[in-house]
Amino acid sequence: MGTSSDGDLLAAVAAGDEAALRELYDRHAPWLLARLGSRCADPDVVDQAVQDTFLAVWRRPDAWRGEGAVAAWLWGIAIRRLLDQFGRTRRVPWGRVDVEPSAEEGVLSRIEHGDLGTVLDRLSPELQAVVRATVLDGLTAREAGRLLGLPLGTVKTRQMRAMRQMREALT
Amino acid sequence: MTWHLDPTLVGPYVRGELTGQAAASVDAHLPTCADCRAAVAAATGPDRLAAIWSGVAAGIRAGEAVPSAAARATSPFAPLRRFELGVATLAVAMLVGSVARVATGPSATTPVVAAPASEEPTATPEPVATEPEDPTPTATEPEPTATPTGDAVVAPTPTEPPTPAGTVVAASTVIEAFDGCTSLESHLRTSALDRVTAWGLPGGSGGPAVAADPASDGSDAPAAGPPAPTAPDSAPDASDTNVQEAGVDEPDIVETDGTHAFVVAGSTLRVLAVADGAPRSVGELELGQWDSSLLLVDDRLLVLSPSWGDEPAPDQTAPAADGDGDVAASSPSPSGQPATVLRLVDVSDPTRPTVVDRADVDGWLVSARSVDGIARIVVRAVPSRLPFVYPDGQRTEDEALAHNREVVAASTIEQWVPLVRRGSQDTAPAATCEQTVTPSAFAGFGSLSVLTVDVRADLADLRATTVLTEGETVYASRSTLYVATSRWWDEVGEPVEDFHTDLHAFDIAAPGAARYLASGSVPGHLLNQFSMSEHAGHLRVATTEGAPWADGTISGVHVLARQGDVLATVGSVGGLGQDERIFAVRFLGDVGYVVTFRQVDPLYTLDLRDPTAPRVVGELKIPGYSAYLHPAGPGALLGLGQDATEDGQVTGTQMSLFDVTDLAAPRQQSKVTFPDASSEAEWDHHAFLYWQPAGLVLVPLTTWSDQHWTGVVAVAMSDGQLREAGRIAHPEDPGSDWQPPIRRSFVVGEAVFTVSDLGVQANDLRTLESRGYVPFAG
Repeated sequence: MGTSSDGDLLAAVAAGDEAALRELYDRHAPWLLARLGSRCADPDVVDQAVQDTFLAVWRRPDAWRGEGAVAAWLWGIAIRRLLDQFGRTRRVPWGRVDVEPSAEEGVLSRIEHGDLGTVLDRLSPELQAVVRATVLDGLTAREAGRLLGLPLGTVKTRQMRAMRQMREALT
Repeated sequence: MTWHLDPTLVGPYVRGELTGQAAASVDAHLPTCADCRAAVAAATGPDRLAAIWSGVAAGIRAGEAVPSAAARATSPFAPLRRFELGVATLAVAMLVGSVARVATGPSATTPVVAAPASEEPTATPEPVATEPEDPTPTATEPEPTATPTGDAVVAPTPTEPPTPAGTVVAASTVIEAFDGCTSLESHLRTSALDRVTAWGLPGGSGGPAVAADPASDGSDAPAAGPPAPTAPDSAPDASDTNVQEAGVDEPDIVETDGTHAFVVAGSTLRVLAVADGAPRSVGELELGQWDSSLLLVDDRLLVLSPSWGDEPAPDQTAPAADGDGDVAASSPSPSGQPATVLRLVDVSDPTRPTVVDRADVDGWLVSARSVDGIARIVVRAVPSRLPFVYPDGQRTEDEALAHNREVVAASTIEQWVPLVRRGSQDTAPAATCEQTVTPSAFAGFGSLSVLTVDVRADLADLRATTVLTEGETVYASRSTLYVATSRWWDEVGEPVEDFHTDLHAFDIAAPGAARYLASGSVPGHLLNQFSMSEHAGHLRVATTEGAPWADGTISGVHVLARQGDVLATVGSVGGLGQDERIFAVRFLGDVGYVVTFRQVDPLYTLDLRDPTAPRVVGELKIPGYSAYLHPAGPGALLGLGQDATEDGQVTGTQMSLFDVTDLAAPRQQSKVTFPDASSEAEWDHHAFLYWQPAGLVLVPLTTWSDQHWTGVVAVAMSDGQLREAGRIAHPEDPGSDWQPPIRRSFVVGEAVFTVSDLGVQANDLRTLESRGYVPFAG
């Protein structure tokens, strides 16, 4: 089992193989926990999101259409399960912040592929949070707002500010 | 992409100690590096992993142990064995097939049959709408000759809904009422006993949890928007609220009657005199909550504030009012649980705004509307008073499950539905059991309530109507209020294949309680409140089908009519913007405008005169896109959005004037651009002001280039041309040398007032010279 690809494991899960799910879990739960943990300070909420993620995989293994990395697909499920938790138990991981227009994601991703690291470090924490949510986590502005506990307008404002500062830093 | 995870970073990353560049680099790298993931795994505590896995395993077995027929029927995605997959898939395919006759082909995986724009719809809609009944006409659209169309009022005979073919997920939208609390309570208990686990209800942890729709959320402003300044008809030389529908007010951070302006800044309500052309601070009221919004009716303000039960309420010690409940079953707003605070504030003496009544309602504020002084407040809630436990050192899994089943079995209605607490007194369900309805296919334990407040009276009776479902986007005509919810997940939290949007309609024509009318469903998801519009008894809904994060999206417009308690699709047109998403929608009378965008902006014009045969009649492709569309007189449409390069890279705010005299040949008559800038009005229409008497458009603007600037830009519109007329900026805040963005504009007499989070300024309407600035103190 240790040498099966993630895709093979998903096929086995689809056939009702719980051991295959366990193998997937062993491979992916740890990094999902770690990565979600940097987005939410409450470990209980993170644990629940990871648990929900693998239950969702069990119930809908066929939702992965064989395109792209299974890891990225799992992240997409996990981060939204985390958001799902916020919907019911409101926990604000980073305190309150401000916003972004979706078409500007292009600008951000360009910057990302440049010299994201050093530029990101110069942003204030609340701006970093918005950039991580929208660029790295692949969330829409609205979802980012849920993650950060911010109104949509605030997310957009912060995204604008982040873009401006990143541009300045790059020039 | 040759960066590799530095082994020394693994421990700090797992412990959450990395920030900035380092954390982002690891984030981005993990999905593509199996070795790095293994390194993270080795650094993760095995106990924690084992505990979570036990939850997964329990969930698997719980799912298998409770294959209740109901769950299976309502959720084709409940735990499936291999051999069952074929059945579920077939069922879905049959649904799609039945829909394709009426609508465009609704399926996320195989997007709509792309009808080439400007052709007839692909399918001939069956004229099921034999009786387009509109109980209460008055579908007043802002601009075009909007005579309330007095269609004959057909009695809503709920005889068998005439071929609800257009309702994709008809099963989930058929509604049942309860004849009393006994049947409601029994329904909830039975539904929950089927689903409760050792960890509570599915999808949630510890306390109350509901397989809620993650796409809906309480802090979700855009749909229903917080903001909307308001000027009652009394002051003809003062600007009116920019709202979607004439005569339907929307809550906003600024309201004005032409004499005074009421502004929410931080957690404070501020009152300013504005009649004499310069702002003057006259009064204030501390609210205690942030992010409040206002509705003004005569000398009364209805203040809507989100609360999380964590600020000390004046009367937190009020005893639980409802019966039994062995635990703290009914504290009014459990700490940490969302609530909505309603306050009626008397502003007849503007120097002393006074709270005359207050009620706290469980749940998130979705939005509100006000018509003729009657406000309708839409809140979403999940049960928060069920004392569930979970397995821990004290309890085994079996014991926890047994306990939780007992909790459900002994539960009372007050533990399930949203409660209202007024002042320090009684806590009671917001809606009576008879005013509560449920989709006949289980849709989760969450609830959507429409509360009614006569702003001129008090909060003694909120007369709620509750549907046991979710709610996300609110739209209202003067007579009907619609709540839409995009469905990405089904009620047990599984992703659905056919992303769709459920719609619920409430009759608000009479001043009494909102009355539940009907439900329906359309494929795809909505952009915002402007995606819905009622006209001549029909609801038009613009949606984008497919997953917004992937290719294959396509947009269309659906026309729905109420048939009994079903909102049935009677006509559809699809094929708008292959692989694009909707960026703006505006329905004006019989005409619809839809902007889709990916690289260029097609502005589609739609002829909606025949509800059963809506059609695309024109298309205009220009670089960039409009995010907000505003009527600007006969044959004229203003668009505010972003300019873009040929490959879709946005370059800054653009305002366009479209000539739509000939719907078949819309053209961009004039445009002004503001490089490297964006405007709050692109995503919140309350920030947009078109002041027709002066031919001025005022919008906030913030640049992100090196020359940082923030303020309001005034654009003059004359002879079919747009040109920048001037700009307004507020003084820098001396304390922080920060210049706050301006968020709202309104006109009183010959003065333009602009509002930021830090102050209010007046400028001369003609010269735009400053007439004075009042900072918000403290």
